[in-house]
Amino acid sequence: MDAIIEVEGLVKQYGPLRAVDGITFRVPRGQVFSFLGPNGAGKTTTVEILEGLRRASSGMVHVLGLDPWRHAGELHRKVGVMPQGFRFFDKVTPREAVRYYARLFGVSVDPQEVLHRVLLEEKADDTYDKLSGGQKQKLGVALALVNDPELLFLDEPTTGLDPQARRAVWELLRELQKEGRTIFLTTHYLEEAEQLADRVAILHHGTIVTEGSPTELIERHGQGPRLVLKAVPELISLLEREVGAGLKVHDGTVIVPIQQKGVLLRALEVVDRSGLPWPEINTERDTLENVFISMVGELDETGEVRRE
Amino acid sequence: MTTDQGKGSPKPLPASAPKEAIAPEASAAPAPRPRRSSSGGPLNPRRVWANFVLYARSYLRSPEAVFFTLLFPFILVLMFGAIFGSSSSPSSVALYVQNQDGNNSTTLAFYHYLDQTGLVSIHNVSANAGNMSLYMSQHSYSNGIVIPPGFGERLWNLTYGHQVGVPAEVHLFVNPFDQASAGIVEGAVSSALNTFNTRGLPPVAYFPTPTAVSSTTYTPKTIDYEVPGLIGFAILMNPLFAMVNVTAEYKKEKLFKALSLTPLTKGEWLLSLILWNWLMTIISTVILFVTGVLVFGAHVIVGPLIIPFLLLGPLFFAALGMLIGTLSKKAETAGIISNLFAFPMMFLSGAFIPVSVMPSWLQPYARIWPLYYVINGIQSVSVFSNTAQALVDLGLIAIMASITFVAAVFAFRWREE
Repeated sequence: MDAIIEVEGLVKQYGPLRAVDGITFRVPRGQVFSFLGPNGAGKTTTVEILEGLRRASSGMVHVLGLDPWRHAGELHRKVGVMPQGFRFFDKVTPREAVRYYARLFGVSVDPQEVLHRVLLEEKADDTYDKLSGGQKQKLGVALALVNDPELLFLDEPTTGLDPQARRAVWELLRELQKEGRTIFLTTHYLEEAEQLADRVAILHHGTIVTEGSPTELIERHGQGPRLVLKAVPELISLLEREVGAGLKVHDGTVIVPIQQKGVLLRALEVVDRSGLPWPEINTERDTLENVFISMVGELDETGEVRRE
Repeated sequence: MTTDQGKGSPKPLPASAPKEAIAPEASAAPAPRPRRSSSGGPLNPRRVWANFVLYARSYLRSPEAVFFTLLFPFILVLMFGAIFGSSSSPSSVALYVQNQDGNNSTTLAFYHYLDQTGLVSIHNVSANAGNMSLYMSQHSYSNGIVIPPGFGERLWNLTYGHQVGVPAEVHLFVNPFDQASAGIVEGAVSSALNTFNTRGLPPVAYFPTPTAVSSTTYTPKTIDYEVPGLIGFAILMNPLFAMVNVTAEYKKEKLFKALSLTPLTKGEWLLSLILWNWLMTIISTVILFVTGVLVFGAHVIVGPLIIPFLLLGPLFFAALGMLIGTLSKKAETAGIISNLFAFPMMFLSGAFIPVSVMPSWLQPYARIWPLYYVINGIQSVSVFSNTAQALVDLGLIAIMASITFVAAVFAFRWREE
């Protein structure tokens, strides 16, 4: 597959601290690639190296075939970036901001059109300091689009947005992907990555702990699909006897792994045949979140690890 | 398990397809594509202008900035005009003495008596400085005396009645248009000579009619010094604080990071801000001159030599501000450091109080501040029409500005290593 970003053995050292510890990955053209990880995992450092804002300590980095640090100027014409915690000039309106970027890039765009894409056209003439948090983020995305980039870096684009605004940004990102753009998305929202990303890399302590499509990761690191059944003790012992291997019992709940379809059918048949009461029966499968929590820990709203 | 997405180059944005607008600097040149990093490359006027417009907008939309740039100097000139508007030169007068008589003890005694009058502060002029009248007008000095060779000996002879026939003379040079200080100088000199005369003998020493030296045809009033002083204030404050704020704030808000992701270069950014500071300085200068002249009848000689001061001065202080903003870790620190520079400087360099009015022990300290040379230079042009002095000041500012500017550009980083 045609890789738009290639990273090999990337290291970034700050004094004694190794913020990025030898990571390797490729981002195929046209995909949404998501970097997941808690704060301090090395996400932003890596992204800023890819954007040519920081210099790698060692390792190979190619973005659109360019060395980002040495050819930053050339790279910046071809990529769109929304930096983490994007900020703009307080007294400038979104319309002026888009026009300013267009002049800097030497392109002609209709500010209204660009702002419409991010659903900000109604606020086109309000100064930046009057915009809400979500509107400010949207402006960040709008400015990243001004030069019609084939590659977009979005560093936590929905942090601080309300759920509705977040979904609106997701919708926009899907559309951008449909246009064939590659999107490098940094986030600590697992749902966001699961919704949008073709590939996910989970970063922890400066290394990639796992990488693949969300489905692959769930399959690889999750516990697999299972039947969860609340049952009376007689039914539990019946199931233990009839279904057998892999079955777990915990506090009146039976968990039956159902990787093989036959197991599910047999268990249901046992339940049906017994005529015993079962207050609740469900099937469950892991989400990316379960996988992430098992590998890294739970995150709070700001992206800090709640517990290891 | 990857989604089957269309590959290939992205489709353009609907209806707003960006296309290269005005061809930037010779894009068709056959030379290999210029390898530019975000810190180098050729200056593109379009981007300089874009940033200038953006900064101007931001600036003009914050009322406090407009107040400090345009209204504050106006208020200051009204204030200082009201205080100093009609008053003439200060009471302790600078007197430039050229002693051509060496270390004769009687001459030294004369010096002592002259100093004891307390009316004048004596500044020595080298005996090799040449024609005193010319020297004084070149340096914008109003009052001077020349002690000719043999003065001490003649004075001694006269005082003790040895050789009554030969008079001892000092030559007095005054600014005929500054009668107040001319009178003070004449009083001081005659008082010092009278000390010798009061030995019961007939008058022995005198001075002939003073020679007029001033090249101006007008008595400078304090407001005339005040207007260049306040222009100096504007040249100091606006660029210094604008650049300190911009560099510190942009750094804090990561705006540099955002800008470095565009084709805007460090040089273009810097140039656009300096252009803006020049514009603001020129506007403040016009306001100050016009107010001074119309409201207080200040006498101002507007020579073309004022222009380089209005360009180099802001360049120096803008670079200084950028240096402070860049080297300080926090915006607050930058603010404190620039205040530590600005406050003593504005008071000691003659921005508010003309240096000539300051106590004489304080006056040498004025010369350690860069702003002194800006103000002194503008005064040399606008009050004395003294090109020679203005050029000296200009040279000093040019040197300081170049050093500071180069240091600032080197210290200033778009991106982190």
